[in-house]
Amino acid sequence: MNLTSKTKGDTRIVTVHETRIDASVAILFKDRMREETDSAEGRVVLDLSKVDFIDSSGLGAIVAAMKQLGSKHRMDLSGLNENVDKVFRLTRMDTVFKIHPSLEEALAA
Amino acid sequence: MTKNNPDIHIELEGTPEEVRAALMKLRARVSEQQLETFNAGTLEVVLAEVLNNIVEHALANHSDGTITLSADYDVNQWNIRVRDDGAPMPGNQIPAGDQPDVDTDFLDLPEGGFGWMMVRTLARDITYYRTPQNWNELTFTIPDTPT
Repeated sequence: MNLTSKTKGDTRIVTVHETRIDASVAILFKDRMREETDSAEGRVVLDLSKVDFIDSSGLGAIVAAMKQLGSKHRMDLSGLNENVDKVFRLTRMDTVFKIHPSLEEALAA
Repeated sequence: MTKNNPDIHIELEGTPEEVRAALMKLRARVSEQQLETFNAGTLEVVLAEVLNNIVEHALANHSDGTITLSADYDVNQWNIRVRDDGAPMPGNQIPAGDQPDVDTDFLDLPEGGFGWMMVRTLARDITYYRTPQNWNELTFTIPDTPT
């Protein structure tokens, strides 16, 4: 599970370098998210622009990753492809996360 | 109904890794055979949930189970049949698939329970049958029209 992160101002940007977040990697994803966000000081932006498929286990892992940050850190999402966006809308998780069209827009927000 | 010789036929074992491989194979076949589908993404989302549910429930605790997936492309819909040799659905029924509540406190947000809700929302004509040979057989259609 290839995740990288960098810090810009008080925002921790985590980029997923995988095309799929599914049941076979959900637990690993959650663990890697914890490592990449442990020392975050403010908002976290999860950049999903390279991901073209998530299933409900992947969605659950993203929710779990936000919850493990605790309530003092917000987690936004950016760069959702069509199929990924569809899963967020169907499950109404698009009402839980702030979703930005691109990382640039997430950083400007 | 799926034809005797379906457009796409994939057999897999009951593990999450096999499910991933099967879905990637499905994608490749759809483009190889130049099936001019509008809705391959929806098909993949529904099949992922159906197959994951089989792995997690019907075939829980044994990874040597078999799943077969047949997909026929029709002019405006996909006809799908998925079979597995695992345990029957509880009560011989497809789960209700209610929408999990997302209007909750942050820490109570659901991390699961979305699978059947998505299947029921996106698929049509869902039927479940337990065969006399002890296979589960699920059939459904996915509408395929331009959106």
